[in-house]
Amino acid sequence: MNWRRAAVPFERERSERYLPLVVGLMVFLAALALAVAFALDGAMERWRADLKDTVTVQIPTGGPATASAATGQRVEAALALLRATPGIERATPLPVSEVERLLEPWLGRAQLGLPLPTVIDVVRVAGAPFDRADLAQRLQAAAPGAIVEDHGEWLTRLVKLAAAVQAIAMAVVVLVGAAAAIIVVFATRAGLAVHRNTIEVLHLIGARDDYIAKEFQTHALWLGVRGALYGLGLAALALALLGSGLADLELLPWLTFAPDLRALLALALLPVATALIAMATARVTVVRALRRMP
Amino acid sequence: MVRFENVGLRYGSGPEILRSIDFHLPEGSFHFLTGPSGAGKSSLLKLIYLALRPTRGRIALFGRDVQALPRDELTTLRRRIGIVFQNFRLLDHFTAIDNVALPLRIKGAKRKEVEGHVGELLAWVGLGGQDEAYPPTMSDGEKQRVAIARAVIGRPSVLLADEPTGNIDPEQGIRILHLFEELNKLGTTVLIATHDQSLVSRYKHHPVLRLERGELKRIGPTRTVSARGRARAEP
Ligand SMILES: Nc1ncnc2c1ncn2[C@@H]1O[C@H](COP(=O)(O)OP(=O)(O)O)[C@@H](O)[C@H]1O
Ligand SMILES: [Mg+2]
Repeated sequence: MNWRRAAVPFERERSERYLPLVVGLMVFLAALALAVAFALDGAMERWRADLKDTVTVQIPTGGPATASAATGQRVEAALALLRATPGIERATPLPVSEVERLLEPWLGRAQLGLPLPTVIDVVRVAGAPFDRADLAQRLQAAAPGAIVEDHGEWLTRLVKLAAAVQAIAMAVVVLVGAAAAIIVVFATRAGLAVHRNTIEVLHLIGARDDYIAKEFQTHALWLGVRGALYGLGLAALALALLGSGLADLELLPWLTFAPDLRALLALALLPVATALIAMATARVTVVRALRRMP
Repeated sequence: MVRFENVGLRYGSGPEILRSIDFHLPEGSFHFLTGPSGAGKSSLLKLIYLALRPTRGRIALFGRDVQALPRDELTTLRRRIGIVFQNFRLLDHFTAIDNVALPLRIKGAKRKEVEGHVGELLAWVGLGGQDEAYPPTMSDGEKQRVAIARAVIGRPSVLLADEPTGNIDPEQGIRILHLFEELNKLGTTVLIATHDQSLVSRYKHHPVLRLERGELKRIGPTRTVSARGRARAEP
């Protein structure tokens, strides 16, 4: 006796063999979308921290003709002005080494020896009004050549853009889930048609709808799990390649696919969610079809 | 056990193929249901085993009006009815013993509890050595006996058979009728649908319900020589 073999002979049905592959493809897309969403999440956090009331002031070196003493004087004048300006909490010149570090991604180590600007890190009083144009004008007078860089504006735009991309990524995840559910509905309906005779016999000899639905939902569950594992495997490979590629190129340093705990958890939940969607969808489809039998 | 009152049936918007059917199968009775092919015998059985709903009239099973019952209760009634389908309707991917055990399995029985009993029943229908045979490898007579074993494993109160001798040789037919009579002696109410007049005439002691042009006539002995009142025991 074989008590474990399903009464509905799913193993004979070959048209379903591609279902795990299709589900796998969808899980792959969902995993990529999730990874992008989480990577952006990390980047946005960093940008928001940067955005926090920071302004930098650059005092360029005045070329070979200008004595470094003159630059020093301009830096001192700028610092004095900044420290006297209401709404500014702190103004500190960055050490040369820090400036070199900041420029390294753009200029490489070859920058050494180049005349570096002096960078003053300005911390604003949180929430206080700040007139950038006015400050720039007054600085220009006190220390000719000084440039006020307010990252706020473009960082704000960047964060907005990232949030939009994130929303799209999440929408992709939801749509992929919905598409997977639709696929399972059609596959289950096909299964109901193919196995109609068996289902009718089970029904007539006294099987409850729940018994028949369970056979279908267990089958769908395993198809879903298989598909999800294919998709997740593929996604892991793609993300690993992408991550190492980005790291090698030192491009987009803010976009990392580092294994963040939340991201890993979300990716691990993906097969669980897929299996549950497949199972629930199959159940609803079968129970609704069975209700049409007397 | 089974009572029809003024029952009518039509498929879709077609003609009424069963008209004003009235009959009663008392507990422990044995009836034949005859009539030419297309008379509506299978349809009438389907009404009893709740595969179809009548378009009019009233059907009561075990004293309960089936029209009034919720879905779950219908399943409970189905479990008290054993059906030997016309083309056996066995599961080809299940062995003989798994086919026979199916009605118990869907009721949630454990393998250990039923194994012995199912084996005994297969032996009783004369398929002792074929527990693990698959239906596609069996003869029609053997399949019919697996189907009968499946129909009675749950100790139904009513046993319905649709053309049980239709696909098998006369000798096998006699064996199978003998099984039905044995079950009837144990108290099961039996109704056998057949278009085979020679079969019916060989078992004259059982009353006959005859369907013709959608109408039912009762012929043969009115009292059934049955085991009515005798305690139902395990086959
Ligand atoms: N599912 C169905 N849909 C439409 N007509 C049917 C269906 N089943 C049976 N019929 C018709 O009902 C009549 C009775 O059929 P049936 O009950 O199978 O008769 P019998 O079993 O006596 O040969 C026939 O005319 C048949 O064509
Ligand atoms: Mg028929």
